[in-house]
Amino acid sequence: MNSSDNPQTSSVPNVGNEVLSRQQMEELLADYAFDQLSALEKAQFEHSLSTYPDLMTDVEELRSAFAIVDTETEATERNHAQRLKNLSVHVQNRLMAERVATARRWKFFRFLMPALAAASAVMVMLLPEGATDYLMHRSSASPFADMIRPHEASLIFDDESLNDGISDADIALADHTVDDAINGVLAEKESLLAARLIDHDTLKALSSADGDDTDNDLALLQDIDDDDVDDSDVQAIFTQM
Amino acid sequence: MGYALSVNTDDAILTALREATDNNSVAANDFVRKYQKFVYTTALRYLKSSDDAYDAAQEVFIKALKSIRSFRGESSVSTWLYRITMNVCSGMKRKEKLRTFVGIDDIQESTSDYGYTPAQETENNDFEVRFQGILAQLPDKQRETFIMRYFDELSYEEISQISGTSVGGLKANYFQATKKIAQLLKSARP
Repeated sequence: MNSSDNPQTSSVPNVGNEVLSRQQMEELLADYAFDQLSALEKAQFEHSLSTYPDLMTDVEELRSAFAIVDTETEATERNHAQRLKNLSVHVQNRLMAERVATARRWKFFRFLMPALAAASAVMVMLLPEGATDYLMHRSSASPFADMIRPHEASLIFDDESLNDGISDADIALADHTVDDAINGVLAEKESLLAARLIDHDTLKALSSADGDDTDNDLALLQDIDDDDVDDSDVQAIFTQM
Repeated sequence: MGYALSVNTDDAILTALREATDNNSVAANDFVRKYQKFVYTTALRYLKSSDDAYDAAQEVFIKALKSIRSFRGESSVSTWLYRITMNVCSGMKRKEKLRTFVGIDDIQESTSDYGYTPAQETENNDFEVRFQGILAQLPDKQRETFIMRYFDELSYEEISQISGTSVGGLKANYFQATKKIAQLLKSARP
């Protein structure tokens, strides 16, 4: 143990002949026993020790008990020193490896970003003028714009007749057509829901009935008892449809 | 660069490290060598495995050297490194718990009363294990104060910054801890 090199660590007053209180002595006792006091603190402790002779016994007991700790600690520290002899080299190597990796990443992105920007610019320049305008207008005009599939977009691009003469009226008509298609799907779904109320026999009757005989179909539907419908009926309906 | 190898005070090392554009390797080397024992033993006490403690020490110094410019010197270097060590060790413990939880470590080694596995007990000598057992009987505050003062040789001010306990309280804790350890060592003596 080395002496403390920081005299500020003590609350001991800086008075030459003043005797320290018992509490102050106890606070310094362990540090005195392990030689961890500054020169001033040590002098003050020794000066006051004659006032508290029992504390000297405590000091001796501490030194005696901790002798084995010091011996064993020295052996352990030798092991630690052996274990740590290459730590600084390993740290430096890892730091160097990280710096190289960071530099590589930065180099990659430094070239990638301009390359991506250039590629995007070339793509925009190569697109047919009308198709670009059409897509931009459509994406802002209709919530169904995202329904265009890649092959549809390709057809649009290939069809040069679409490049010219597309008016707002055309776009409105296209949107209306999409709305109609969606309404058709909704109507079909409603009929499927209604079909859940049909039992197996009714389904057979409906299947064999004349497709145009709407009155007959409605009459059959009104006779349906909800309790007669089970999962197998619904499954059968879906299979036949 | 005016850094001399022989002048390895904290201020000289820190100044050299801060001014260097690519971490002055001589100053970095001095920095690691000066604090490696402190960081390693602190990690070893927490992780109870010399391999894990070595890995943790590497991680601590890499983090410290990378962020050396942000260290404003409001606390001592030891206090700063102690905090980084505790963060790194906690992170390693969390990962270890997670590995165990998701079953990566299928076979868990049984541990001794002091938290050492049989392999670790073999690795450490008998006295060290017995002494850890004695330390385990102390209240947390007394144990921490004793370790930081006796083994790490930190000043009371530094310990106070780390633990948040007053200097007077730390001195009382240290006195009580050393007395109890002396008694326990005496009674354990064959």
